[in-house]
Amino acid sequence: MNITLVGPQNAGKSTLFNALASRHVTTVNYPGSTVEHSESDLRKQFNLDINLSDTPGLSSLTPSTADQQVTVDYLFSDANRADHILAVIDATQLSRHLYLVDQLLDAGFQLTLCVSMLDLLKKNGQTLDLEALADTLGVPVFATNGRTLDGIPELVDYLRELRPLPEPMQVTPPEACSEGAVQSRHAKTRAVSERCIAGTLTTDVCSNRSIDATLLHPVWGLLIFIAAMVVIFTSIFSFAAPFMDAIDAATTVVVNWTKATLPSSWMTDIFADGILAGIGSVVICLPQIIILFLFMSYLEDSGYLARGAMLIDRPLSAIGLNGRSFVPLLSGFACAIPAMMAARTIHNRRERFLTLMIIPLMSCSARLPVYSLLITFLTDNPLHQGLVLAGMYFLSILLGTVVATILARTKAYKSKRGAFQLEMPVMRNPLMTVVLRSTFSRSMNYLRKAGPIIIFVSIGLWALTHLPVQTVAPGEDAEYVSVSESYASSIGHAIEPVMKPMGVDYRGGVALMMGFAAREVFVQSMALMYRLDKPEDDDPEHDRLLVGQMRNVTWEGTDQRIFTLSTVLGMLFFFSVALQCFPTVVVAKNETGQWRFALMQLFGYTILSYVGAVLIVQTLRLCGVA
Amino acid sequence: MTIETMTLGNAATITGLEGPSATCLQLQELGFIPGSTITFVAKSLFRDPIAYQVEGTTIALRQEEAACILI
Repeated sequence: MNITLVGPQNAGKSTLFNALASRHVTTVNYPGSTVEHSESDLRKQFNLDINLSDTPGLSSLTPSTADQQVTVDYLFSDANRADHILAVIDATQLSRHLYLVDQLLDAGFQLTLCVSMLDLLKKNGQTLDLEALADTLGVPVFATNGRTLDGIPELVDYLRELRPLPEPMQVTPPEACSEGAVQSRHAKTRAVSERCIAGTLTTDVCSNRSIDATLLHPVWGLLIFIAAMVVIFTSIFSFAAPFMDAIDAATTVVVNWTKATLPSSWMTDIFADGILAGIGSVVICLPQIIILFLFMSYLEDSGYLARGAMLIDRPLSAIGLNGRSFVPLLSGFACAIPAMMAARTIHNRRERFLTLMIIPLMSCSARLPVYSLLITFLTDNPLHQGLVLAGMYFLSILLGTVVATILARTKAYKSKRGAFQLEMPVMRNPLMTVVLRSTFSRSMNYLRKAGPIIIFVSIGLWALTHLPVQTVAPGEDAEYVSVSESYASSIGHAIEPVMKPMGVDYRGGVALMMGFAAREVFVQSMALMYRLDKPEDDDPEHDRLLVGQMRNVTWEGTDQRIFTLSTVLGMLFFFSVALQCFPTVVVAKNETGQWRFALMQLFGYTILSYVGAVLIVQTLRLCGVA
Repeated sequence: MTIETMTLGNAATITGLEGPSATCLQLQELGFIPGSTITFVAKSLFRDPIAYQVEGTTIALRQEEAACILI
């Protein structure tokens, strides 16, 4: 049978869902929409013949956002009607949360009530009479705690005995209600709450007034927020680095070993350079994903994330985003992949999509080796180099702001500012099991869903740059021969007229194409295509040695230089905008559930980066800069 | 009086709601009902949004919406 979980935000609904579903979760779009919800087949976990669906938080059946509208429509649609509803409410918010329950009962839903946060109620010096509540409402009531798993076995036993009604539930959507109706419903739920809760509020744990005075203080609160963000950012940036280096080194060892062991043929190459290297490029993102989600789940479970979002909401709302966009955007400066996954904490779909749209513009760490090389070309002075690099970060923020501002005014992303009601969850000590469970499930979701496509694309990209198979004469550079005679090279030749306005020839075009595997690949593929003598990666003189050779590269058959001030500036712009990262495209598809979004983003940014680079190169040349 | 006259730490009783009817209804469904006590808990940068405590919970509202609440 189908059971749907319904409840207000912060009531513990998703925690209960995760406790029941464990790791058997699939993400499903509501029919005909892009709003997602999670589903789980409870046969796997508890041998229950139940398909459990989670829903986004609802404070009432009168929807206030587009997402809530979709959820309410889903609850009432004939085709998807659940056989039973599990309503989840917070005991410390009994009267407010019973409002939704009362509406559900009025509409005719068959439901069972799960009451969470009874431990907090007890700390407040109060108790809830569950039997009295069940009698008053006329529905079964369970005490559940999805964090500690208290009450879950009892709920599971109950669900095992539950049978669907012979007839589907007959429900009627609520009519447009009046203020009077709202007030009398509140009066009713308040009376129920007063009847069922015993004891007077002694130590109101839930109000957090004293903590909030500091955490939400315009000065101290902001300092705490900045400190928390600095910790997160430096962690994903530096703690992840040794793990990523190790994965990178391990991949190289495995690839080389495979090539040395298996008979030398194109099939060995596609296995080693396509599949194994592809697996490497999937796994290399895991350290950053795990670290980011450990921090995010910790902050979310503690109740801090909502508070941070409130502090920073004003400046972000000015460009159509909201306070919850901050952590994903900041993470985008390390890597777009965990950043896009982190955007799930943005409840409003429109703001989530807008955030996903501009994340790839944030200057990620994979751009650094490319920037470093190109900036070394521009200047030898370390101070000037630093200034240009800072300028690139500034450019990335500026572009993100401009793109978000423009898109927020288009039809697809337009909404009136103001629909922002952020309920602050109770501040509490996060449970490590909850944090670990959520980090694990996000990482597994990435591996299972994005992993296979990334490997597939990696094989395709390898084939494009290495097929058809070439015979290499002794003494020739095999890698150079296969790439320079590949399909990619043919495409490079064909599109040379398009690349020329950017100031590069077909070899530069091929190197740029190879950079779609990952931006940092550009440096080595450029060295390969222009037959530069590539220094070791850890050589401190790496960039200077390469730049020295780049200055001598000329258009084939002429003495006209390719890498000039204007082309390098154009390329810097190109790299700051182009979505040169296939794994990001795959994750964007995974996070939005649509290829359309991912491909629009890919082509949109690639075209924008190309047009911008051409404008820069041509304008500079008109002004007499080579 | 409008809610804008409240300062940090102030508590007041909601006397009514005035403004776009959809917003007023939503706010009431959330718990901002006439007769309830509302407390100004915290303000963020630029005094927007502001966090209010009502009915035992803390809710942050942007200025446009909060302006509908009369005290």
